[in-house]
Amino acid sequence: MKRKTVSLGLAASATVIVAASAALAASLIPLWAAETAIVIAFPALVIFLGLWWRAPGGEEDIPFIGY
Amino acid sequence: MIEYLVFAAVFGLLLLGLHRKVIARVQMRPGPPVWQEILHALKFSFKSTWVPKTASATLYVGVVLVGIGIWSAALFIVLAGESILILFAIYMLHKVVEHGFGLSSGSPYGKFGGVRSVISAASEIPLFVTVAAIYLFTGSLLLADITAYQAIHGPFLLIAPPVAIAMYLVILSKLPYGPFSIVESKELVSGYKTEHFGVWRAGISVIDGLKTFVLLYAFVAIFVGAVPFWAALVIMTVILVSLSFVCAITPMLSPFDSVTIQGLITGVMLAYVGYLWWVMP
Amino acid sequence: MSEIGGSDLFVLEFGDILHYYTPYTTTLFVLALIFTGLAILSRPEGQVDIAFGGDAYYAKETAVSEMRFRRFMTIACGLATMGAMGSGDIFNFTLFASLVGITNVGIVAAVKSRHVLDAAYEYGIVAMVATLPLFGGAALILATTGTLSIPALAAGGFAVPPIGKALLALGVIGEGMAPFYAAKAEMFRAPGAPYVIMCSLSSLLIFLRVVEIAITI
Repeated sequence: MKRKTVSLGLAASATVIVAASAALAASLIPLWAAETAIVIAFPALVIFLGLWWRAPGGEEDIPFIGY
Repeated sequence: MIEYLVFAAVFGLLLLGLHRKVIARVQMRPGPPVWQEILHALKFSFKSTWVPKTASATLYVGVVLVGIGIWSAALFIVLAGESILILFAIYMLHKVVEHGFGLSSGSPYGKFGGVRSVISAASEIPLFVTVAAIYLFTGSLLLADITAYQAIHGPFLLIAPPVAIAMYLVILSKLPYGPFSIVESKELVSGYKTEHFGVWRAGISVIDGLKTFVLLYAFVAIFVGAVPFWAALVIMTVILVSLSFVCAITPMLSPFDSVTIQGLITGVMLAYVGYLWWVMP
Repeated sequence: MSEIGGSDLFVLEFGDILHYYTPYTTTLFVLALIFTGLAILSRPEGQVDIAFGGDAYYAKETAVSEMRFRRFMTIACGLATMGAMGSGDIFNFTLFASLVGITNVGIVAAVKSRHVLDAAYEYGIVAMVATLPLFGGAALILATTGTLSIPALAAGGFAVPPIGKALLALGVIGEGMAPFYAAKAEMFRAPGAPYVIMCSLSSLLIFLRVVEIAITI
């Protein structure tokens, strides 16, 4: 996947988790709603974080392919 | 909320590292450092990742997400003191996740790991027996009610020791180096985990960490009762070290022997619960 | 009603027959939904087999027509499972459970492998025999109490015979749980992971539901 796609996915899942935690702290949503949101977003966060670390940015060295 | 998940995953991985260390020292080997499993999870997350050509791509990726999701949900359920029937359901569904890991890649090793996870179904029945026996005592399956019952009557570990042994065996059959760990047996490379590499494997590490933490924490909550969090962590570590001794001195059974022994244990437990049901008012 | 899986979240009434969802059954329902969705979205994998004694290996292909039939059966199985999760009536539950047994055979019926078909045939016989205690248990409960509605039975005032509950549980166990799993395990050698997983998931879920029913009533 492209770095942009992965970054977007990572940002989206992180936003969901932060928003759910903040809304819970401000008691805007009940506990179960916050937990459901985090249960859905956390797996995506883990996977996107791993993909993001290695995602190609388009400026890598071209590997040496012989003379 | 998220801090609980991260803590549980890291602490669970630390426990697994300790597990390896203790096994190694019992077997007179130096063993890996205690934080080895955490390093593994990080290492895998930095590796390049793709989806194998033969794999069923959606399922291949989907089961990783489902696996992390169900154990995150299990953690919240245990922390909130919800119904242990849901925990039981998640434990059983972990088998479907293992199955999905094994079959989705098309690799023969993964497939045999998946088929073995299906035939190791007998390991779930002791957990069901635990649930049934506890219901006979408390009349409720909410974890909050179970801890409240223990606050009055003392820990279940002393009231019904055979039930605690059943749950102990359930945890033992999910550890990576136990006598019943036929799904990850080395003649199958890594069993159902074989074809999940890179980030997917880091996801499996997170699943393993959460799973270890949740099962041990549930054991403490069900059989010891309400204790301060730090004390729960200490008891979990002690239980894990005792499990490591069991794993270190027992051989890995062949699939059919493993199923036979688990079946026998199930039979004994069913007889015990039948007896309880008969003598209870 | 005793709090086994938490308090009711949602009740859908059709006259006196109703569907209800507790946190427990909702969890199970959502999982059935997720795996049905995965079966719809994913393509079958190309299963690779090794020829022992050499380096040779060969990949199996799943033909499109075979895939279509199996996907249809998987979706049917998923729907039957979801129905069994929410059903508030024991008769409906038994019907959904037997439908799960039938569709499980259907999921692997199109596979062109003698070994898998033999296993499916054996599983079919076990599942068929298991419907006798399944419906027998429901019939016993109906004959002693006069109702099959789970909320009505859970409200108390009925002496539900334990043998009825035991037969009901035995019937569901026969659809593919621990001791009767032997016939079913071999079915999982079939290629087409998204579909085969539904065989495993559906029998687990109906077992988890019958545990809740047996404790509740």
